[in-house]
Parts: sequence; C-alpha cells; structure tokens
Amino acid sequence: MTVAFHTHADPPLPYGGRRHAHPELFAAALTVENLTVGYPHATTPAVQSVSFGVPEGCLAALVGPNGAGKSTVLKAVASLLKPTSGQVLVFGLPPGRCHHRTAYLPQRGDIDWRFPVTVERLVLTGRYVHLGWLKWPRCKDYIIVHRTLDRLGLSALANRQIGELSGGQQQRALVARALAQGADLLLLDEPFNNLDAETRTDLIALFGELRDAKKTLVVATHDFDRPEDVFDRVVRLRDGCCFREAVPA
Amino acid sequence: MNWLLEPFALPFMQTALAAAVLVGLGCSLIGVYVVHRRMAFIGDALAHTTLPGVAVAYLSGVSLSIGATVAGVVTAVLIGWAARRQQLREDTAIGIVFTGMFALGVVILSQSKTTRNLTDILLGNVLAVTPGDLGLIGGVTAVVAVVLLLLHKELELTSFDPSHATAIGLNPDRLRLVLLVLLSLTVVTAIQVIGLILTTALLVTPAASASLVTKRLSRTMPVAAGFAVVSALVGLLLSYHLRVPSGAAIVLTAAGGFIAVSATQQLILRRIAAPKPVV
Repeated sequence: MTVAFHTHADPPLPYGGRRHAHPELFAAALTVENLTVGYPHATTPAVQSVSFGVPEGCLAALVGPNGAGKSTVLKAVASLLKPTSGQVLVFGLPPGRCHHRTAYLPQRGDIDWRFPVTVERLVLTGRYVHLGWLKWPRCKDYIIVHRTLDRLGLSALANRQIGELSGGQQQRALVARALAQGADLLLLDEPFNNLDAETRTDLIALFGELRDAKKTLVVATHDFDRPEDVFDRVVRLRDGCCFREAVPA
Repeated sequence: MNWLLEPFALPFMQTALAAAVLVGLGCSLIGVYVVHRRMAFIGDALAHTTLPGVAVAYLSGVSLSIGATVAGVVTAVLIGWAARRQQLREDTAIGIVFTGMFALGVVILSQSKTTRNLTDILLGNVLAVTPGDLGLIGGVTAVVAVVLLLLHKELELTSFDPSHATAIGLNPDRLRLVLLVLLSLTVVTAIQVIGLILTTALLVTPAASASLVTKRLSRTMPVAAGFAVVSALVGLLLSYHLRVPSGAAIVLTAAGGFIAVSATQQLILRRIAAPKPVV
C-alpha cells in the first residue's frame, strides 16, 4: 500500500487560528515527557508523570486495564485535553502546531453513528482542516477521498449511511478519514472493541500496511494477552502511571 | 379550484400564508439539527421561556417580537453557560431555566387585565401578522438559512464527531451556542404563527418526516422545508374552510404528513422483505 502525502495551501481562515507547521527534522513522531493531565472539574489527574517516545514509522501500543489512562494520554496528544504539567511533542512541535499531521480516531461510542452522513462525507471531514472556515470542499478533495476509499476497500460503501457499516468497516472508515487528512500520526482509541477475531486480524494487517507506508500509529488497547507479538513498541499504563515501556526484540 | 384559491384572494390571508411559509422554512431547516442532535426539549424550553419577554413588552407597550427575541436569546446563552460552567446535566439546566422563566411570565401577565393576548401567545394568531412582522420573520428566516449554509460543514461535523472537530481546532461549544441563538430567533417568529405551545411541533415534525425519506443531511434540509411549506399551505386552507385555529391546523397537517410517510416507508420495507413467489 502506498499512501500519498497531500500537498496543500495554508487555509486563509484556519480553525482556531492554527496555521500549518513543518515538522522538526529528525524528531520522533511522538515524545511524551512527565505528562500529567486530568479532565475538567476532576479533583485528581487521570495520568501522572507519564513518559515515553514513539519513533516515526512505528506501530505502538498503549496497554493497560480500564481506567489506566490510555485514552487520556491520546486525548492530550490530540490537544483535546490540556496538560497540567509535562510536555507533548509531535514531530518535535507542540500538538497544536502540528495538528493537521495528527489524527485522533475516537472510541466508536464517541461518534453518533445514527447521524445522517454517508461514508464518503465522513471521510471528507478529514479534508476540513485544510479548508478552514467558509470554504467548501473542491473537486481535488473529492478525488483524494475517493482514492482513499478505494485504497481501503470502501468504495462500494461510499454512499451508505455510516450507521449501516459493521464495526470493522467503521474503523476502516475512520482510518480512511485520517489518510484523507494526510495525517502522519494516527492515535487510535480502543479500535478493537467489540470486533470479532477475523475483523481484528484484518485491522492488524491494515495497521501493518500503514506502518510500512511510514505512518506512525499509537493504539490504546486492552484486547491483547501478548501485545508484544503484534506491536513494535508497548507502553504499559496502570492507575495513570507508566510502569513499563518495552521494545520487542 | 375555487376551494384552493378563494381564501388567498383576501390580503390578510396572503400575509398569513407568507408568514406561515417563512416560519415553516426556518423551523424545518434548523429543525433538522434539533432532531438529529436531540435538542427537541431545548426547542420547547426556548418557546416557553419567551413568555416573560413577551409579557414585559406587552405591559410596557414595546413590540412583542422584540420582547420575545431578547428573552429567547438570553435563555439560549443562559442554558449554554449553565450546562458548561455549573457541572449540571444540560437537561437539568434547561428544566430549571425553562420552568423558572415561564412562571415569571405567568406572574407578569397576571398583572394584565385581559387574557386575550395570552391566548394569542399560547396558541398563535397567524391572521394577526402585520406586514412589519412579516419583514421580521423574513429577515430571521434569511439569517438562519445563510448561517446554516455558511457553517454547514462545521455544524455537521460537531454534531456527530465533536472529538475530531476539537482536534482540528473547532470549538463544539461555541458552534452549539450559535445553533441555540438561531433556534431562539426561529422560535420567536414561530410563536406568532402557531403559538408557543405548538412551536416544537414545527421544529420537529417536518424534519422527522424528512429523515425517514433521506439519510443525508444536505438532502434532509430541502425535503424538510418542502414538508413544512406544504403543511403551512394545507393547514391554512383547512383552518379557513373548517374554521379551526390556524396553528393547530398547520401542526395537524404536519403530523398527518409524518404518519403518511412513516406508513409508506413501512409498506415499502415489508414489500422488500416479503419472500418472492417461486415460479
């Protein structure tokens, strides 16, 4: 699989005033240093002093039981949560500076799958970051969307309402959106939840193909007994703290 | 044919038709978001909370529309603020603001010597719409349509995937506030036509009918607008010929449309699911 890098002009009215930035040379895809972060109105942080790094073109896993802080870390990297202390660097830059290179794929329960949008439209939302306010998707954006759908084997489902897809297809559609966005770092929150064994194997194969295309994937999961067999790097979290970072031989 | 055209030969019926159609358009466009974002309770609450604004305007001789608009927008901002800042569930915040404002409106109106205006507010009186009111209704409908068009992709995205929206720099809370303000403006204009008790019906029913017909947001809006315009037209005709309140006639027509679409859809689904005879 080859994944094209989409060149684009800076949107004239970018969302949140965020301008596109080029990554630092030779920087790791993701560096997390002493990260402490919590949810608004919570009295204690969900994650405390977590540190780890993920090089470019790596398939990494954040593993741990429910409540370990896996999703919280991903949300801090995607700038959905503001760190209390510590530092997150995406390709050597703070998350907000490199936001279009980062795609956050939320847990499936966080998306309203009954909303009246098609698979094509869902993937098209990946292009919005390149458009900004008051600009409509153009022919070029639709071409990118259809190439991506084709690459992920979703072309036949393009006009289906998103709720009509199976769990595995929904996950593929979210990956397609990340690729249409041109993201280099994909943050996947529990993508294997409620998937059967066959679909899970397909998804792992897809992640491997993306890794081979130099994409970096960080997957929060609690679905594997031996994640070292599947992932290049495994970061184990427990009670909001990082207690082991392993690089399988 | 006379049955169709005769009522609209009268000038006040022409104004009423224009008002009902414009309100139907505004309500159905924003109603698509009301239905799919599950905001029906907010729509109902916004309608009821305009009462104190209307009451104060009535007693002080100011335009009722201005009073209702101020009360509606203040309520929209209050609900958004209360839900975000006070760690309350949004429906709880709405319940508090909604009942409190409505009770305040009833108390203020009790100081008035007549209840005629209260009946108009509660049940609407499309025949009393003046050309000035029509200008305001047209203006609000145009603003709602233009804002929904310009912010379509952002409102759509924040409606079904707020996480991705936030990750790319959008603020779902602010966009929700925009929707609430548009909703309150729409509700204020609808109150004049169908009254505050039935306003929710015009927000919800045409959009719900349209959502049975198409599964794309961009198509749902024009289809919902079509249902609303037909409901306004047929409802006014029924109101004129059967001598029933116009607001209730419009809402009953919209409800009848929903039942017809729903039944047709069930029929089609049954035909598709039925086993084909073996030849």
